[in-house]
Parts: sequence; C-alpha cells; structure tokens
Amino acid sequence: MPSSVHSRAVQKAAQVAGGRQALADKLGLELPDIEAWVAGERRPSMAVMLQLVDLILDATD
Amino acid sequence: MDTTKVLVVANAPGILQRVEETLAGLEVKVAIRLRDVGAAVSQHDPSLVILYLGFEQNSTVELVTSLAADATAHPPVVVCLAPVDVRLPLHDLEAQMRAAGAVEFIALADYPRTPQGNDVLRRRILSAATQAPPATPVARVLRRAARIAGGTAALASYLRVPEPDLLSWISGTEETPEAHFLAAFELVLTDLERGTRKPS
Repeated sequence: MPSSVHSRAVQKAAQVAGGRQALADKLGLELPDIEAWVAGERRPSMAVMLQLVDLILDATD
Repeated sequence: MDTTKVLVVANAPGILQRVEETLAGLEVKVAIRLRDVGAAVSQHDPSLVILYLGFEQNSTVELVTSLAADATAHPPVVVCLAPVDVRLPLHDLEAQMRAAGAVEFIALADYPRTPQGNDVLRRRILSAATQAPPATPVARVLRRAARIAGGTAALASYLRVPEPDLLSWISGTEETPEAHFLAAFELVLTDLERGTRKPS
C-alpha cells in the first residue's frame, strides 16, 4: 500500500532536517510521534503539516 | 529590506521612461525581455521587481510564479503594472497575477502622468515592498504545484476544481479545502521524490 501524503511529508522533512531526531528538535516535536506518523499509525495535525511544508519548501527552493 | 534596488521589466519605451521618472533616486535596473529576468535577479538581487504586463500572458504568469516560488530567503516583491489598453478584464488579470505571487497590481490608467500622479504611483509601489506579507505554507504549496503542473489552469484540472477557485485559494481570499491542499502537496512531494528538485 503506498504511503500517505502525511507519512511522505514527515519522511521528507526528516530528510531535509538531517534525521528524525533533528526534525523533532527543530520543530519541538516528540520522536515517538514522528515514528508513528512515518509508520502511518497516526497522522500529524494540520498545524504540524504546515510546519513540515515550510521546512520542505525552504530546503528545496 | 533594501527597497532601493529595483528591477523594471518592460518592453515599451514609454513605460520604461515613466517608471524610471517615477522611481528617480532609486537604484533601477532594466530588463526588456522576460528571459533576461532570471539573470538580472541573480546579478542585481533586487528587492522589488516591477513587471509591466505588456508581454505574452502565459510567459508572464510563469515568470511571476517562478519569482515567487523559487526565491531564496529574501524573494523580490513583484509589482505588476497593467497597461491602459489591457485585453482581459482587469479583475481577471489581477486575480491571475496575484495568484502567481504578485504582491501588488497597479492599473496605470489610475495614475495620470503628472508630477502628482507619478508621486502617488511611486508611494504605492514602494509601500508594496514594505507591506508584503510572507506567503503562507498553503499558498507556497499551491504555487509550487502550479509550476509543476504547468500553470494554474493545469493544476485546477488536476485537482478537478474551477480555476477561479484555485486562484482564490492561492491569493488567500478563500480557504483551501484540506483535501485539495493535500493533493497539491502530494504533487510537490512526488516531484521532489523524483529528484527533479534537489534540496540545497
């Protein structure tokens, strides 16, 4: 089953941040939450999604 | 922000002359072809791009989208100047340019070519540079997705929504439905994952 856009966004944000822990530190998130979002067990809130969007777009402009 | 570095993009000598008169005292560079704008922005790093809407429309929209979406930490503010004899209804043209990322849209017909008219025009142009709000994440995604899709019409088709709705979401006059935002963001992610845009 293909990953959801939420999971892919978290993975991409972690990539540009330098890892999942770095992403957690950068955005003030909890690592277990990030792991759960990547695994598709839960979805980040829209507020978090918008933070991820900014991070990804800033890194890829 | 340094508002004194300006790039004027216009292909009509009379307009160039007028804008240079209006912006006397500022550091003004000129590009007379759209294809020269990228190099001029890289070279001069203007804080303000004044774009006369006398060029082919699709190319003009692409340029504005590119300036708004590709910029680095300090993107230039884009101010559009509409000719007096514009073909589209001004409202439609304004919506299209603002959706592409233009911060201000000025109809030259509203400003007589007099010292007073030029002074008011100058103040309106410069106020745009200082009042430009930062683009929201949603608008950034929609603009990036539009560029990937090949324009706002193509993105609207991809999202199966009317283009005017998409334009209102990009400009922030209407809230973007979450499902459409996520679909546009998925397009951006897919583009990134294909490696067509490398992280810097």
